[in-house]
Amino acid sequence: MPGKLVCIVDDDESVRESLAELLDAAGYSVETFDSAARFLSGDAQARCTCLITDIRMPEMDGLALQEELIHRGCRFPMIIITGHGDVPLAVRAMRAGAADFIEKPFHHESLLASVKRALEALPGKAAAVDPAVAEHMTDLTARERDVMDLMVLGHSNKVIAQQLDISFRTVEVHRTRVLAKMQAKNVAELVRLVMAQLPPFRP
Amino acid sequence: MTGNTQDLFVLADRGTLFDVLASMAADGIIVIDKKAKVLFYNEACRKLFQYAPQEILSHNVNMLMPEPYRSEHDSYIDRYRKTGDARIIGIGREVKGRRKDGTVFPMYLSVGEGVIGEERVFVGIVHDLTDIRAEEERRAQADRHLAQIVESSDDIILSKSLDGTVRTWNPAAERIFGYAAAEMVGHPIWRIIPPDRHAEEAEFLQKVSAGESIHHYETTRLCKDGREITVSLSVAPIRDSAGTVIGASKIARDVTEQRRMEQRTSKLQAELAHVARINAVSQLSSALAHELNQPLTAIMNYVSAAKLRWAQAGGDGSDKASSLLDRAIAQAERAGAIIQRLRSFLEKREPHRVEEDLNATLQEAIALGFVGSSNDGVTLVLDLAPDLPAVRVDKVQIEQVIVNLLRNATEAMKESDRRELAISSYRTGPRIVEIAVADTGPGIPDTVAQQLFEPFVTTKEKGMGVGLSICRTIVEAHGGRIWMVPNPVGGTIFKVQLPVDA
Repeated sequence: MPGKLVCIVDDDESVRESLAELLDAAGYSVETFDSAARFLSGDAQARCTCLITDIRMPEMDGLALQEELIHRGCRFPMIIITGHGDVPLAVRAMRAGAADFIEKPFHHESLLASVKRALEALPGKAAAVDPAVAEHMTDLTARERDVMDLMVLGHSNKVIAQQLDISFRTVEVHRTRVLAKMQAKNVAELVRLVMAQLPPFRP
Repeated sequence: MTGNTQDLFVLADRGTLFDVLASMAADGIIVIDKKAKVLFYNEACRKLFQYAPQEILSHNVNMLMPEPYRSEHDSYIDRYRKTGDARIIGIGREVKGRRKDGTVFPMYLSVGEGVIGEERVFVGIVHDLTDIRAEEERRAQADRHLAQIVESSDDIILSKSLDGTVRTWNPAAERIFGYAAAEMVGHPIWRIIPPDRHAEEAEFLQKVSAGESIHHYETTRLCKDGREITVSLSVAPIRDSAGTVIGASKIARDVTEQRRMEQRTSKLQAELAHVARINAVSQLSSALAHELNQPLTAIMNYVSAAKLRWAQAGGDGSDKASSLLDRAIAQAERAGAIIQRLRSFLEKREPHRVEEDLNATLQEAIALGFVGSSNDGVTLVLDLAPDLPAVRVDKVQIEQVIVNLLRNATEAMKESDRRELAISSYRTGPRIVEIAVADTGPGIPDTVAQQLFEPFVTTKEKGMGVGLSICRTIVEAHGGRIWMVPNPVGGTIFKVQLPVDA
């Protein structure tokens, strides 16, 4: 896929280089950067068609990088890589317009699918509202809707349990039902689906 | 009587015998006539009343008496002469005497009546009771002292005879056991002894009978309301004047509350240690999971890339190499799933949060923090705001944070000349409280301070560097934050901020 430059920003060398090898093998042009600052200081941002960045990095993190890119008017899609427990941050990134977030460790097929989807979406155009998603939502009970709203905000089951004053077990049950009814494989997909229903959030 | 003494009485003339008797008698002898005029007054009287015979002979005997006897004495004699009603004559009783210098003393007076010639006379024998009464008073005073000590004692003091019958029962015993002295004295001691302790009590009585004592023995006793209390008791024999053991004295202290406090403290310590262990494991696992995630992601990426390359080189996906690569990916995914499961498990531990008085939590943590650790030379300065709102916290977890900070601070000051540990609590906003733990140690170098709360960062030679990162995890889970600032007087101040409704 010539002309499709995927840039990777990650302070962890093993993740960064292995990801580059994977994308390279999948046929993408790849450039890697060990910090947000290094990415911003070069000319790669002008050629970049898709950015994959780690969310937690020393000094400038993924969210700050996203903010700076929005500020600079960059329109290429951005995929956020998160560790466990970074869902709230990832959700913030999604609301700020990130194309997707993906939790480590990930299967190469999900990552490649995510990159493909990001590149296919027209830059700057909001994802189309899927009427099926809106219909799925009407299937949810009120409690399931509460749980979903908190899931989409990136809260852990523990926090959801506390906020709704229900047991951890109950949250788990609701969570499974929400994912099934919304036909989402995981929280990332759920967030993506629900995000598409909402206007992008600009800080 | 021997023949010699008989001879003596025969030979001695009666006057000589009388003189010897009267002058040698230890008791005073006074003879008066019917008008109370003194006819005879012996040597012992002179010593007792201080009057010389010539000062008293022919005078009214009432000068040897204090008021009101002095004024009334003449009427006593008149009444006797008229009615024959003897109040003292032939009987004798204790009265008061008056010395020349005006002092009054107790004496035993026996009076007899006789006739010399035509004259009716009265003979009085005066026995000085001063020393006896003084000795009695001294003993009574000593008894009163003892009684007051027993009465006012906070400890149970009682005595019993060797068959277990209660003889004395002090107010502390009444208060602690709930039985009044009247209910217990004269009754068996057994009702305050739990059935399973009867053998023990029998053994005590046996030992005491043999003259042995028991010191500070801890056992249980039964109160009137059915409560069992823990007492520390000492039992000793009581002997009569011949030295025979006739009973047992028992002094007991109610140590129920003390033991309960000790149990509570050790339970708290155990809880704290347990939570500390769980938190350490959780923190370690969490850090480990985070660290393992990176190479695991890299492994999956590399193997996936290899698989793609192999397919491009002509592998059709069903050959041996593709299958091996798939299996490698599956195993890496499995490792990832194990880490996920571990993390979900750790997340499931729900903290137990209730409204707590932060100052009480602090005080408890301070007590715990210094248990079993030498805090020698460390001056503790407390400045706790009295009007703090209650905070919703998991007390044991917050205590762990404080104990951690206290121990760090104490350790940091080990080499310092000035060792002052200042702990304060205060409000920084309507819904925010803060705790500060300030030490006067060497301070923390800037390079370390930057990442002090990260796991595996330490300034201690033997430290693992998980303490503060656990503190941070706990405080952040409570919606608060923890940070450090240099102490203006040298050293470090750790601050913990907690929202009132976390």
